[in-house]
Amino acid sequence: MKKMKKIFIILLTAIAFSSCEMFIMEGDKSSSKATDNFEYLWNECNVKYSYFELKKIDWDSIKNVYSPKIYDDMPDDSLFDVLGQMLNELKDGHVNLKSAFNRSFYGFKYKAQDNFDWRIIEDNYLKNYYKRSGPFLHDFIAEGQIGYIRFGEFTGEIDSVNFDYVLERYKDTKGLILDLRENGGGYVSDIFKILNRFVDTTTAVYYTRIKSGPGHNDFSKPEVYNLKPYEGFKYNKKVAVLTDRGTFSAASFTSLATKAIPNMILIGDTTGGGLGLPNGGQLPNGWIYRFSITQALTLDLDESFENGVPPDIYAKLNWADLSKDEIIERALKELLN
Amino acid sequence: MPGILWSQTDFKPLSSKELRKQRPLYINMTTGIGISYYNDFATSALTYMGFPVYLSGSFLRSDNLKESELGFSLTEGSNCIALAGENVYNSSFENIELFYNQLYKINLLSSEIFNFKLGWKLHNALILRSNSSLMNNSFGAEVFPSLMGSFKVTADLSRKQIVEKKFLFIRYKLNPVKRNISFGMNIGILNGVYRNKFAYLGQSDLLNDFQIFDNYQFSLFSGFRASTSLDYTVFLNNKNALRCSYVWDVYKSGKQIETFQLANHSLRVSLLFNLNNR
Repeated sequence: MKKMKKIFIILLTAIAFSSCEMFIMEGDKSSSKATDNFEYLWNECNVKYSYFELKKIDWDSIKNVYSPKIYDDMPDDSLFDVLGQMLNELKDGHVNLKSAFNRSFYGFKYKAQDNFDWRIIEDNYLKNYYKRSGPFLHDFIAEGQIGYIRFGEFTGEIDSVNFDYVLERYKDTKGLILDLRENGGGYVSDIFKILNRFVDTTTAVYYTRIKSGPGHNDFSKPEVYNLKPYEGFKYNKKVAVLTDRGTFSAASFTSLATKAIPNMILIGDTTGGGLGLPNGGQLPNGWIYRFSITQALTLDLDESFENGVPPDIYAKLNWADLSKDEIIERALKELLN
Repeated sequence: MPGILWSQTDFKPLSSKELRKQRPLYINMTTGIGISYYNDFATSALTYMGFPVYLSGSFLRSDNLKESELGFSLTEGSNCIALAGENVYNSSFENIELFYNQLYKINLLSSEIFNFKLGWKLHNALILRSNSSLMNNSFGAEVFPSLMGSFKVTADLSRKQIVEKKFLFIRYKLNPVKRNISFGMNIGILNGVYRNKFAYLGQSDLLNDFQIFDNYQFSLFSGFRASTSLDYTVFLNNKNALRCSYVWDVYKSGKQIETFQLANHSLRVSLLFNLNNR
């Protein structure tokens, strides 16, 4: 009997220990209350967003503006609109809120006129037959003197086969046009696979730093990215990189890096920014958000190119004349003279 | 004259090596299924729950005096969900563990029926989390190295003689069987955590220098780690054994940065293959 009593105590102890987790683990934070989700999102941005100071955003004031719009019984659609509008105060294309029924966005490319139309290029420069190599659309223009390469998205598909083919095809031209207009970015790895074809020596191209604490100015030490030259075929002549307000994120990083590469020149309009690496997170009601948590800096440690990387030569499309692309024309003038 | 002073029997106590050789050695192969709950508050406010599968293999030496075990395990929770309102969110985790423990009999507390052991356990867990909806934070990895204090009590439930029984009018015999029930507990004494720093994400991709543990920091004396195991073991005539277990364990990172926590409850079945016929 005494033996059975002790065995019973053993069993009870086992069960008691396994229920200890309610005291050990922090409680569940899920909530469908609008106020909980508003506070959570505002706090996460407050401690982790990386561009408050540059953009002169008073995040506390913004809370005072938007919190009166929140009440706990509000419909999800209305809550989404309020939270999405609050996030748009950050003026950052890398800031989004996503639910099952909607996705918020900041229209960075609408800050200036549209400067790209693929049909103009097809009708007047490439005609109907041009090459497609991986993510590149390309052909000779200007009577075979210049190679035109359209790179519309950083798909992660650049490899030695497709890019070798492209660059070797135009190796005898006087210059290249790399068209990054309305390229919204994508895989960061493509940045290096493009740029390392245009340098002969290891070249510092930008700095980057990441949020390291809750203060708006709490960042890690800036780390430099040194671009190493490609070990195979490279292109050493002049390259005109075309940009506009739709050039964003990885395309903006590429544009920033060209400032340090002597034979590359930016022509067109200021880029849309997007030089902060976005994170990803989940609100108490399950909605997904993201915002920038890093800063990219020039070699002078200037973070202001988040507002757009300025071109070396400004040019814009004349929509009254669809027989030419003024930005390509400006690039041709630069490359052929 | 020497014969009066010295025994005719040549008796020497066994060395520790000889004792070790006499101790039963098993390959312990375990499988199980359970229920798990986890949060990573650095990336999500939600608690994910799933029914993971458990597999492990170990070398186990065990007798009344000492027990030691060296092994690894894999817990695969591929379909975990979190509920928020009417929506269901998916995630998955894997837990890869390496462990070694040693337990020694406490003579003061032990008796013929109850055997008490005390010891230590070295344990390292690599917990991988995957949630594609979190965009650049879709993948997470935490490492929990721990030095734990271990305690185990075993009650001998063996039937040592043939017992004759009767059910209604049917007579039957129960043969002798060796079996026991045990409860073991491990509490973390020295808990380390290798986890992401403040921003969670790292920037090695922007530097063309991908690192799996990008922007991580190691914290000693951080967090909490514990586990318990309730085992029922039956030894077969061929010296092998079968074991059923209920196991609970919990991981919690420290508060230096937002918490990661995981709790598992599992039912397991083990086959213990005797290797040295002891």
